[in-house]
Amino acid sequence: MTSIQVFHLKKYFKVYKRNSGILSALGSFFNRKYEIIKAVNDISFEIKQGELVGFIGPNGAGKTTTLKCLSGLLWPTKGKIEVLGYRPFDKQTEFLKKIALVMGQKNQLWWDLPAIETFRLNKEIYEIGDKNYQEILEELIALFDVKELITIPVRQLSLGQRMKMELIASLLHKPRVLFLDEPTIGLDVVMQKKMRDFIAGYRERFNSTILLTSHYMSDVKSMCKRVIIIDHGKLIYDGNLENLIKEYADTKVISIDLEGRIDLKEFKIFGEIKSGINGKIILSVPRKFAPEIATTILKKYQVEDLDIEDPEIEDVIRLVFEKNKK
Amino acid sequence: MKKYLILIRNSFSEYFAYRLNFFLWRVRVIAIILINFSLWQAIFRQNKVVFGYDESQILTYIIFISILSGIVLATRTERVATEINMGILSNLLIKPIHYFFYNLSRDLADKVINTCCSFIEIALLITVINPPVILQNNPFWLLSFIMTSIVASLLYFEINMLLSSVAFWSKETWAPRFIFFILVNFLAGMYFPLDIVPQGLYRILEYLPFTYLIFFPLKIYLGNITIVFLIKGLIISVVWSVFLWWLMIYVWKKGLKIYTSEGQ
Repeated sequence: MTSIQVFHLKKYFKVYKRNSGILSALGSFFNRKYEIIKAVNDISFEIKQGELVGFIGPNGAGKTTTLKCLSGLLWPTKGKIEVLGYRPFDKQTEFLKKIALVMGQKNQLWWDLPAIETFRLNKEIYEIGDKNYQEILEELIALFDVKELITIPVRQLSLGQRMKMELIASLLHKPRVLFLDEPTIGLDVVMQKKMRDFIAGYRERFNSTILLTSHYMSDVKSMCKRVIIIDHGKLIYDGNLENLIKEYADTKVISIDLEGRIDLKEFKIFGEIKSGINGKIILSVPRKFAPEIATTILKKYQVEDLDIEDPEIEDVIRLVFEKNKK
Repeated sequence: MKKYLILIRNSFSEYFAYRLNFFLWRVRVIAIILINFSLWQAIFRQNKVVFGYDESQILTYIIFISILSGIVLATRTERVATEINMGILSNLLIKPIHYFFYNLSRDLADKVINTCCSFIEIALLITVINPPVILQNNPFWLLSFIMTSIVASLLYFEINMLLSSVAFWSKETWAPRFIFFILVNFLAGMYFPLDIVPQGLYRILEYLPFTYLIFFPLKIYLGNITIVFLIKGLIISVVWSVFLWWLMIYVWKKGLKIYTSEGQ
């Protein structure tokens, strides 16, 4: 069953331009100049119910704008969107009850009150039954380990603590479609891992559709099979993450642990030397020759350990963007 | 319905987080009453009747502005423009809650607190200065006063929401609001009863919504009016509130289409 359908979505913004300096400020008072920014420029995709998709792109690529269009905050300039059979911008109550948009920098919490007051309000807004509310609240509180914090005024919490509260507030109504914009921002490494496990577990348990953006590639790598890559408002890749690596990365990374002294120059013939410290060498070699090169190294040198891996996802994505520029 | 009750409760609690702000705001309200009060007292030292009003009527008018400010002018809608400009509005738009009712609930909390405070302040003022105040005991005028105050609150809410909607089109919402407040203070009758102005000007004011914010309910409280005045005023204010409600929704829908959700 299709959960999200996007056909030829375009979202343009009219942006007011002004140069620096008093004179130009004065000039712009009489003659304002505008520029049209094509934040999202004709993208189409479909997501099935229960899929977890990573939405990747550099800053300003149009990721957040797309999420905002999908959750009904922005009126699309052109194109058609359907989420769970609804047109998001209509903001029908039944639609809003089934979705959630979690933004890293967002603040839905009542600043001067403890987070529990926001949770109680959300319970009523989403009409969550007492039993359901208690169950999910306890589960989320335990997951994020915030039992002591929910009664402290939000303004006294740290960024990471507030982020956890934001997430709890957004998940209380168990949304069927979840838009996550940088869900791990502000969280420490341990919490990031917990968060990832939670998101993956949440999808499995409720068969929810999740579309997430993240700057941390480890988020994407550990959770998403499918990725959608956009740049300058255009869709440049939509498919399996593994295929992306195969398609774009024509190299493999060989990591070698050697015994004794070595001469780094000798390894130049195999490929590009990424690093070489204390007997540990990382080489980037052509994908099709990787097995042969590894065999040669094993024969020629005293090797303690050797690994052949795909390049880091960050490097692959960089390649994708570079190719797109050309 | 319960969601709006919790909203009102949260708004109450929020108030007490900034007690000093609130206290100083009340001091400002009392100061304005006292200034107006001494000004009019000075005028009445020379004359028994001024512009058709005797001393007790004018002083009652001035003192009761405090209560009516609580009922009508207390609002939190000034936040709406910031919420639009900063993108905070997004947090509310993605929730199954009616944004206008959300604001009305916040306003209700504000009105209850301010009105309660003004009752206490007035009781204190009356005890300390003992001015000749008219305490209306005719149930018909009291009921009409309450009814027209509710219409006035709705009118003020609609005007404020319309002013805040400017934020969809411009970042500069402070100036229109500032000018509006100066206008309201004069056109609504915050300084003096509006019917003391020249007849020609009053004929125009009668057809503006501002007259029905302060002057009209207070005039009814004082009671020395005709039924025709009451019915005519009610018709004009209700027509305005229906029209402004429609306009508010129309402008809001237009605004949402160009809303950029910036900053979030």
